[in-house]
Amino acid sequence: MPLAPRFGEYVTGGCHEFLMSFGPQNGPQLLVIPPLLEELNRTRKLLSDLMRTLAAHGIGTHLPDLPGTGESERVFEAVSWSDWEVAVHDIAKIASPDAVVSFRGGCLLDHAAGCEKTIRFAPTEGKRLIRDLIRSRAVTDTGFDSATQKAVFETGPTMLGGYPVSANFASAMRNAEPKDAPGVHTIRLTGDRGDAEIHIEGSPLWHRAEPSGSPEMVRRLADIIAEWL
Amino acid sequence: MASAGAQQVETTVRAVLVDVLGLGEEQVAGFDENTELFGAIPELDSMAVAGLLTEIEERLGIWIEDDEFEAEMLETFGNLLIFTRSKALQ
Repeated sequence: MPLAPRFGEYVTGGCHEFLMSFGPQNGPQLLVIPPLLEELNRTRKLLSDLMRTLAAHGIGTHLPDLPGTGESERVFEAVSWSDWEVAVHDIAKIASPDAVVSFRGGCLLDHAAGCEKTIRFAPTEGKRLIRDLIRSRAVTDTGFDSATQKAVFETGPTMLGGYPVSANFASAMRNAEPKDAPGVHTIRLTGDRGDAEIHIEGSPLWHRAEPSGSPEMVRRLADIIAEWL
Repeated sequence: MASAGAQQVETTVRAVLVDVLGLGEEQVAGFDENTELFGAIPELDSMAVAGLLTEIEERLGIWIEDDEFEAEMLETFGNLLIFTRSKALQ
């Protein structure tokens, strides 16, 4: 039987949000900032497989529901980008992680944890994420024309990847870039452009139409993270 | 004979088709400029188009404007190569 997660809580913006944790509570602790929105759906298995594998390495991991997502009771369209930054700050206060591991769009928020050590996997820019969401809808919805696409950033809310995204949120996400900081270590897939300390083989599961896991990628990532910690 | 840059774009596009659509490497290695893509390959449906384009952009470091995208671009492997080369090698 696979290792079962534990569910905890953190408080941010006056609301209780949930946190899923794996692994020992007395070893090194890692805060996981996941990919955002649709990319999270496609990488959920990668994350839980990785957290279980890190537990076997003696490392505790904590994966939050950001406000408005997962089991959160907040309404997504009322959540701002800065609410997410504050949430990451608030989670870090209660989880007291030794390091942060962020994925894709999660790398746009990891600075808010204020942690000295951060490992980023396949970081991307917010403008590419929001445009991917808009494009995904445009190819399946002929009524989603250029005027409606423009309104994503001006009026909103707009349904993107199953979330009602407000214009403020869409604009803030479009402007977000990973922040430079000391102690940041970057991993990318082989063939991916951009600076990285380490490249690993594997497929971009976050862009796959058919979500799947990757045991090899999980093993390699877990080994790199455990060694780096 | 394609230039080194054109060859590099082709190698990248083939790799993205394997990685994003989950196609076999041998299948994709057999693609030529007349190979039909959208509508002919079941894995490349409308749900897969955005992920494919975004991954191509990220790997080639290009930015495809929405008004530059036309369905014809994905009709054949040849069309996809012409478009990506024009963006990446300009």
